[in-house]
Amino acid sequence: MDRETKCGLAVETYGLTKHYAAPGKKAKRLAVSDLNLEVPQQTIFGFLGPNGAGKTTTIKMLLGFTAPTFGTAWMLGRSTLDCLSREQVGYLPEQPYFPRFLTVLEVVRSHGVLAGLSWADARRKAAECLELVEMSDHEASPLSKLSKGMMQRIALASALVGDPKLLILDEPSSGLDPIGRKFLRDLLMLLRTQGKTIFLSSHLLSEMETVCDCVAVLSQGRLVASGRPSDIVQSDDSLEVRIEELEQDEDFACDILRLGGRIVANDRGLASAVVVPEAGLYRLIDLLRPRQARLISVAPRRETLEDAFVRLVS
Amino acid sequence: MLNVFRHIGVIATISMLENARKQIFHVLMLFALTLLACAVLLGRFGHDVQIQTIKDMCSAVIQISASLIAITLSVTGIPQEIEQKTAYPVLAKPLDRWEFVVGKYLGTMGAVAIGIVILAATFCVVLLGYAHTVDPGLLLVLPYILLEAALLAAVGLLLSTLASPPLAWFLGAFIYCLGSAKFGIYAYLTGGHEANLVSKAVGTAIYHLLPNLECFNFKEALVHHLPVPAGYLVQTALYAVLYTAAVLTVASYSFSRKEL
Repeated sequence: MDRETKCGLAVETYGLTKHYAAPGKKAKRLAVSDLNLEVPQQTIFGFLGPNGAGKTTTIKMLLGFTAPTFGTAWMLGRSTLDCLSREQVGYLPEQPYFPRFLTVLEVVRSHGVLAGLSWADARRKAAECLELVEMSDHEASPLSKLSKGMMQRIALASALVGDPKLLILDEPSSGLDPIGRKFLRDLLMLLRTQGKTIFLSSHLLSEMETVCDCVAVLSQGRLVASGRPSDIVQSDDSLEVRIEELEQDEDFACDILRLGGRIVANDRGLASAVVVPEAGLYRLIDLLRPRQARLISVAPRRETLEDAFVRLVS
Repeated sequence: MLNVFRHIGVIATISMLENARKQIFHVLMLFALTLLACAVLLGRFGHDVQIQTIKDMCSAVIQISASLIAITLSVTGIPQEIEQKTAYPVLAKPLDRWEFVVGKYLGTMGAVAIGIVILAATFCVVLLGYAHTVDPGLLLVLPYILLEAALLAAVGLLLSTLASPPLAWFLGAFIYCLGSAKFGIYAYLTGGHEANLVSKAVGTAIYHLLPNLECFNFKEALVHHLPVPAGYLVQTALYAVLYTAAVLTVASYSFSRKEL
């Protein structure tokens, strides 16, 4: 891989492998195996996988918390073995913890200083970040007085205070209510437009599908799929036609079968879904017209990211 | 370079505030103040040598308490940060692990210094009450109690990167006991005709590896107003600084290899 390509990537891993010693066993437990990832800059990258798939271990290796057994990893063109690779990186852990006696402003400001800012700059940036996460009113509150959702926002402000180019977020939605999740989604979109790369590990697949430009699916430590969400989900050339619930109609069912389709009764309330090949749509409409069945929607049939995820990891 | 100082400063400040708020710190301080009160009460039975007895016992209480606080806070500092996951957001920043170790160490020493100042202030009040004056010899004793605690805190920090906090505490306390009686143990294990090869080897190992904590004991000089050569003071301070630096270097290396 030449240097030019590396510069266009925010995160790269080559053959990244991690073995852990299993207690009481001779054989080592494989946490991550031969992981090759390429995360383009200025994208939102979704890192998916079931519990124990190796997502957090990968993030730990990227951040230097644990050393890879084999392989190399780079962030913004710097080897992760060098602590300076984290100079432009903000990190939000799965369950953020800070000393609870500190105030909100003290926490964010101290993280600004740790990110390389002077005390004065850190104070200014901390105030800006708290405004961004809508926590300005709580600047002087001690962390012990905050809810879980508020802590998550403070952790996000602490990750953003150094103005990082790359944000690594481990389950950022955990502990957030629906309004908080919507706020987070909008914030991630905003950060992407500001040119930041977001490496997002999450279980909330519907959200990932909405915000991510590309995703990687990890299962039992191995990469099983990567690419744009639309590349990962499978689609066929059939359509899903939703109609108002029909009374039992044997002739209609036979006609649908002849078209190469099938009826899914009582799909989502008082409606039926008819799945037919694309070419049979107009024939289906002809069949519905004499029955005066109300058409609700016509959509190409495709997997959701959740369906694809279940298919890939099972 | 400026960034390194800033990093260490932030970690040390937060660590010091955290240590000063710990329940175990308050318990140890309360224990130390109770011991000081007991020492004063016992000293009153000294009749002719009342002041000397109080000085001797109170300075011993301060020395032991400072050492215990240093060991207790240092062995729990880093493991607690890892267990409570407060270390992760900090270590994800562009700083080396040794900066974290040094920051934690200075934070621990900040809390120990607060403890020593409180105990010393109490001691001064007692002295003022009994002798109507504060012995200037305290200015000699207190800095060396702090240096001894600094050395023990470094040892505790190193042990905390290698063992669980309870084991590290027992090892730290064991090293404190051995280090405080190092020459006696060495003489016992290596002296006489009955000393075998193993006991001589153990004695020599203890002598060379463990810190010499006896050299920080200036109680006699305080009680009996004995002169202490300036060269000896400098040599002792230098010994503490170098030993502490060496132990912190090993602790940093050990922590940098630790999987979090």
